[in-house]
Amino acid sequence: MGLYWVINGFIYGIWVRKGPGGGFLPVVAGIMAIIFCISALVSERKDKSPSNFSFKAFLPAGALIGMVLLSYATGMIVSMAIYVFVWLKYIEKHTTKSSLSLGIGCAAVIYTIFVLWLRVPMPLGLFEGIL
Amino acid sequence: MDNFNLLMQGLQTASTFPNLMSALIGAIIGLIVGAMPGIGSLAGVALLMPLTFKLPPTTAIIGLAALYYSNMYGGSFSAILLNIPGDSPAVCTAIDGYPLARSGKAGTALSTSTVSSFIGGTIGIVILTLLGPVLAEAGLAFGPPELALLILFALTSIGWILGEKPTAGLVATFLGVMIATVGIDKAIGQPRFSFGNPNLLSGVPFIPLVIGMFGLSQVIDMVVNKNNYKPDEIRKVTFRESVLKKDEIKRIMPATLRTGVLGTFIGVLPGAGATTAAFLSYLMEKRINKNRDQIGKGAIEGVAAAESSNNAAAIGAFAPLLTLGIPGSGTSAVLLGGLMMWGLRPGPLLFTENPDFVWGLIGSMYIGNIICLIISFACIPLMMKVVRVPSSVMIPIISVVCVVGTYSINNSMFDVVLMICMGIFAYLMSLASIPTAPLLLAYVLTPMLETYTRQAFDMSNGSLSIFVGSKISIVILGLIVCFCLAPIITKIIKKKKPISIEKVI
Repeated sequence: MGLYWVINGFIYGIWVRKGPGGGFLPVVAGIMAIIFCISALVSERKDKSPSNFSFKAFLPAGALIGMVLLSYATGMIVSMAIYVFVWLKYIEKHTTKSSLSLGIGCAAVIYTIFVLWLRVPMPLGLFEGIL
Repeated sequence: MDNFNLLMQGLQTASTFPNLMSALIGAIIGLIVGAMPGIGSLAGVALLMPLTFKLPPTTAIIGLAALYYSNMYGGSFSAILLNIPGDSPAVCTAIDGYPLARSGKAGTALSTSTVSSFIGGTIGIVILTLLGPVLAEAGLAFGPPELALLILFALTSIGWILGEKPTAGLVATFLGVMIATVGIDKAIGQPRFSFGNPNLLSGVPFIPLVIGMFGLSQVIDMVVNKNNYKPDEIRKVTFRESVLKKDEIKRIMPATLRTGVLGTFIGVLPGAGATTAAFLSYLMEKRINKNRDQIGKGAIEGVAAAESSNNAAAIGAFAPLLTLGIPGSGTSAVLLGGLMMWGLRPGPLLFTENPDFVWGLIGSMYIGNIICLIISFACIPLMMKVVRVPSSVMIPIISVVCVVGTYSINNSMFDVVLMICMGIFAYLMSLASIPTAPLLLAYVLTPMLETYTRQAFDMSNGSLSIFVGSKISIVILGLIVCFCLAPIITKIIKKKKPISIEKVI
């Protein structure tokens, strides 16, 4: 990332019309980021600190991406309700009743606050044409 | 004495039933809006303004002003309880507030935030009352070179919040600078690092960045490290136990008072705003507070510093607005529009031509601040229950709040996807022990640094001498040099210190 910023920074121009150009800060920041990244990498290797990486970390992001894609079909509010229900029922192993009530409750609160009160136009998905 | 008499008249004006109701409604809406991620004071004021068209100007502006500063109270709620800052000034509150909540001290954190907000707001109102016009004039003495140096001072201070691994913190700082350069270069109009995506032409939006890096990364941590989130193990604390004790008040008072004054003065500076005030005040306390080692890990001093200064800055922004017609922040720019809509011309003559309006507004701030304090305290027992909700329920709810909060800013799914990417990015940063706070600070300050630096060079025709051209510039430069050299000098002094005989024996 640092290298990309430095290369493009030179293209944007470091010094333009007696003042810093568009590339001044990207070049400075890119070079400093590269230097300190290498330094941090070297010290991490010396310390041999263990990594706690887990693929589980991508589960919430993946589920939210699924919710976003579903919202194009069902609308944001419905897809939220489905997301909450599915997460609670199949991942957190809650009962169907509690998952359903929380899913619907959450969607109802979001709808009341953001759609009815704040008038945020939420996507309606395929229902847009009908409604 | 004159000001005191005018203030008394103003309090009388503010105490009429319509004005009191306006302050109350504005305060309640501001608290709710502030607590909701993605909906900041700017959106709240813009939403409420049409409803005030039919009201008399004094009543209308009292309501809007109450919404603005009560928004600072509300922003701390979601920051402390969910680690999702309700608005950008609450980012620093989350750094210490959330760890406090996780350790069973949510009530203490909320009480600290409420009390500090009240005291900071009061300091701002008193300074505005006594020195309003003078402050505004002083604010004008800060031109582009002075503002550029002030921001550079803030960026160089990031070293104070780097924690145990300074190198990792510096990586985060420069990553923040790099992210801030995405978008159209304001001076030349040239797109930078937008990768051909029109959504990135105005830069990486702040709220998705913050919500992703704080809120979603928190959700990811809850999923990966489930054992760290057992709300049943958080001791049930009563409201009485959450009320600040004498020693806790003693601890937060110095930080609250210092940052209240600093926040007011920063709020006066055009363009600085409550976010800059909160960051700078937090950095100052991290450097000079007695308990500075704990700030950043869950110290009430950290919460007090951020909250006192952001409330003070919100009030401070009214000084240039009323006396010179120059808004000190984005929200006060919307308020300026409102003032002009009601036929009021902000400026030096406003105080003389419309004293009822001005002093009524200032009087209402005293009353509104007390209203916010009472309502916030009333909400604390309910808020404390949030911490004990099982993480299995919090995960999907926080995720949904993150998505809706992000979407509601620009009605853009791109922002939502960006928020998700930033959440993953923040998680990967945490694996590498790279702190996120320096990244956010650098991201907020870099655009202003770039703009003011360029303006300074334009004024001086490319000469560096403009940065030593005024007393203010020289003082700030001196501070930058001192604080950069201080750690090195301290190290050298410690090495040269002779070993005492007692230690040898």
